[in-house]
Amino acid sequence: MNDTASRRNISLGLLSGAIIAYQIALMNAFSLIQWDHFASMMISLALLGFGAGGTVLTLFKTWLTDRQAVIIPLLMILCAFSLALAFPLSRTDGIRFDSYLLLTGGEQILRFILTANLLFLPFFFGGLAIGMLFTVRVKSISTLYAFNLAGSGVGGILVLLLFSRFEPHHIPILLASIPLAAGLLYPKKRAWQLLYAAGGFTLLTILLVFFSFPEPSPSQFKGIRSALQLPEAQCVYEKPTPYGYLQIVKSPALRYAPGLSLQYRDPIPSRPVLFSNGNQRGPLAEFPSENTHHLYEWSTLNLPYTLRKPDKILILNAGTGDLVSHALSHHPKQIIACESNEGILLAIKGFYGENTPFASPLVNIHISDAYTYLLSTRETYDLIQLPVLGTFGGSSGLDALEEHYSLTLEAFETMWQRLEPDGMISVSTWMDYPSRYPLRILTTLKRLTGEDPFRHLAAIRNWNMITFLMKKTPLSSREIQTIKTFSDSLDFDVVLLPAGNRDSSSYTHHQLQNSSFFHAVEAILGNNEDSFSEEYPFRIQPARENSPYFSQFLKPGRIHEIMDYLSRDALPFLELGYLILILTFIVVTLIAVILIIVPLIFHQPGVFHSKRTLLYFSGLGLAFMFVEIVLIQRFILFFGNPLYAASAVISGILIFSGAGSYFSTRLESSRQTITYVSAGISVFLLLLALGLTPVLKAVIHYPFILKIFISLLIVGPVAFLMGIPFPLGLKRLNQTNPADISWAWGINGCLSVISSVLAAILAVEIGFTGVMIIAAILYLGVLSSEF
Amino acid sequence: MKIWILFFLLMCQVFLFGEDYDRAREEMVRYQLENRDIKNKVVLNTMKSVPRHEFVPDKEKRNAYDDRPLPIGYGQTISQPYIVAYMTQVIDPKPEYRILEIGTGSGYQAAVLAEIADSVFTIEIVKGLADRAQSALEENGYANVVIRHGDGYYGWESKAPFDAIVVTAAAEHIPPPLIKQLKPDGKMIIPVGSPFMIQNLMLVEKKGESVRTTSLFPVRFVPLTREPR
Repeated sequence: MNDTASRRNISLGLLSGAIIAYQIALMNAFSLIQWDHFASMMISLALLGFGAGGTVLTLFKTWLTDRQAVIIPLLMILCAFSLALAFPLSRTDGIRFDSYLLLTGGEQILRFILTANLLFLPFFFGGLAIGMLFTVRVKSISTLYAFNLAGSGVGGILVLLLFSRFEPHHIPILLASIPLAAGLLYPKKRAWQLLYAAGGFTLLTILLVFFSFPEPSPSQFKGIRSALQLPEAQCVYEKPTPYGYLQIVKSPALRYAPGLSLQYRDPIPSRPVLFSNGNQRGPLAEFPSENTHHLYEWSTLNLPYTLRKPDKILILNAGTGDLVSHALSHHPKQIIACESNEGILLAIKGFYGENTPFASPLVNIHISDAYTYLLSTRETYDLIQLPVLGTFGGSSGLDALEEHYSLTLEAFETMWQRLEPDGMISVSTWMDYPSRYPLRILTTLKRLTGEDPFRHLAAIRNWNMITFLMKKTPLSSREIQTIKTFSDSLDFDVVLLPAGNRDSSSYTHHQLQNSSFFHAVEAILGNNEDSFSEEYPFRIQPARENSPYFSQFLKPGRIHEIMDYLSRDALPFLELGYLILILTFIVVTLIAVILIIVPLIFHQPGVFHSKRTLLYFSGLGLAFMFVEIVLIQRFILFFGNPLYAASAVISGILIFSGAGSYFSTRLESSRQTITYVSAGISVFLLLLALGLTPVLKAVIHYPFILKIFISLLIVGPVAFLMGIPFPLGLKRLNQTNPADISWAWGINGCLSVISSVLAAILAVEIGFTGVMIIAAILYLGVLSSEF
Repeated sequence: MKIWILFFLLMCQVFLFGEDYDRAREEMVRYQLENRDIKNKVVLNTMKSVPRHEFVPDKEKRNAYDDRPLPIGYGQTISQPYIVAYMTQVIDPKPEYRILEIGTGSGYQAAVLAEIADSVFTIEIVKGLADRAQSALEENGYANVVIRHGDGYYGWESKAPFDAIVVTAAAEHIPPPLIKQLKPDGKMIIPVGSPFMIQNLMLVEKKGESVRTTSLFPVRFVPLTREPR
């Protein structure tokens, strides 16, 4: 490889790394200022850049390739320039949109589309530069593709390092320096003065924007904004972490007392509250005082402790330590607290020092996803307690697309196995309207025992919270009496007790408008749960680890029915999260078709062989992203941490695909080779679809280093093979119909755009296994497309 | 001459917009309130007379009489007209009533209550909203409303007890001081729900030392069943 080729390859690697890093940085920044829904939109925008780049290449191929020596580095510099400006401009008054207002009118939709277009520009310039390189250097396509993928892999890791060092809004601007370096490094034969001048101007822009761009305000509807508007509110702790931007806010008006009895007449003490990416994670808990009763003794949360004093307690998703503090006040022998976000624990320690419940010698902390921990231990517990589910007053479905593995039926079944013979599971949820959270918890708990679940279940409620208790052995008459006495003394209503112990007089303190909630409870615990669930307008069946979206209740087929019944204006705000995903899918599909497909259809009409090209490259575009998204999800459970999972899978796939692409230089671009490779991928994917989860569960307790090795061992071979069909297809196309190379590039990009959002929708609707099987079928489909 | 023509056109515009708002308010009462379950004549007349458009931000004025909540800034909303009417109907204010409102927001609910009751005391925790509501209430002549900027958690002890308390900024627990400041047999109403959501209204009644709550979900949500085919 000569010096010119090396510089070209390194430039390409830098540019590719910057693009993937920019994409992840945008996801991070948007989850802070808005919510997490825009992750798939950022992936789509990145891929859209490549697709649109392919289209421009197709339309102006001759003009562009004649000037490629100047245009490729110029595009890299333009990518840097737009990268420095796109995100700051998208946060200006005239363009900024708000998720919460997206469905209130056309202006917000217009702002959303404008934002998408602004953020798309760096991807477009970068994608066009890469596409041009692939087109003009098609003979070195495998080497280039290898640098492209390897650079992307490194970029994915680099950006994670930046998360702990810089504030989220600065990271996209910082990243602009990487494509600038790529543009300046790229071998220049002509117009070097122009390129250096453009580079100098871009560098100046990056510096100016970095030092002048103020921290963008989060959405006015985010918890952090409301908290900071309270009297005497001050942010007393701020720290960027790979897990999110953490802040602690203090104000005398911040008080928290879930499930509190109206019999409690003393003022509620104020407590600092921790926010992660602007979302409230809970009040900070201090070490419980020996001399005073814990506030939660007046709460429905105290239900399990009224039955007996548990010695060994497991607190799942312990967060800010609220439930740990409550558990400590009951003097157990041991508490195990699980929390996957280490940043939260560090923030609490940094703020309170040793005065946190986590500092107690009785508390063992496990930094892991709750379900991952449950799978990796054989310990048993007297009490397993989950945090309060849902949001007071409802969250409008904004957390619908969050994966909650610890709330799946499989997780509850594992909890059940981890109970002592007389152990209990306790879970509380806010009452919501229409009822969804409590009913889904009930359908899940019901499945834990083969016997009559009524004998094991108790539930009490105040005006806005319901606490469930599921006991491994049937509740005794003494325990039933204890629950009744506790409820009566604090004006709680008994919702569930073993048959014969509950009547309508149990609902005397907090009346609901009608008995539909209680009928739903009876239907679920009776013999007609299936027909009731079918008829109920929201999903209330248990979430499964194959589709762990506990908070996704919307049945798309029933939207119209519910809107007619409730209010056309109200429904979107009942289940906003999933609707935003569908809106994103529509917007990116439209933009992709307009920018990529339409120009290609009108270009060279009547070129029939391009249909086969279409099938081959669109299949690859769809399937690659499907595989990536499903593997990330599967490994979240394995590592117990989404960040490790995303890093291991994305970097693993990109680096191994790069290696596969590099290896393809030695392969014949014959039909037979493509057939063997695609068949191999399909077989691998089917094996992963059916066997990956059991394998990962079997080795989930292994040490972290070994887990990394296992993940690469699983991802490596299939990723290596997946790196081959694209460059091999381009090579074959170069022999059979070189005019179609950019068309293939564009088609692949367009389908990749659609696939990232589509994969998220399919994961909700048919689960991860289904998405993986579709990916396997798509690779098989590639076999049938001879071109 | 041109100035006079411009002035004339401007006046026509003001007159026409005024007409529009009056008509929109009439329609709001007819279709959104009377067609549902707002039957209290006093409440209906009040909703006909309070200029809701004066309490929303300029860019939302055209939507002021829509059947939905509207953003008023600071992450807050002005409730859907029906919710305001329903809450007012539930506490059934009398001319001699002294009412406490927690969470002034736009000031619209306070204006509706002030049309009927003797005095309304309202507390808003966000300074910007408190100032804006104060101006809107003063400009529209509501002299029997007293606004205070601060934390409504402790209520307004010097003005207690109250015949009714309207909590428009619900917390996940009902502040014990508010229960203390409610007269025996007094009513407290709380809408529960995040911005733009269908809010579930809750009535709190003080019966001696005991406190009872009743959920008053305005849209009678019963499990939907498919039409038999």
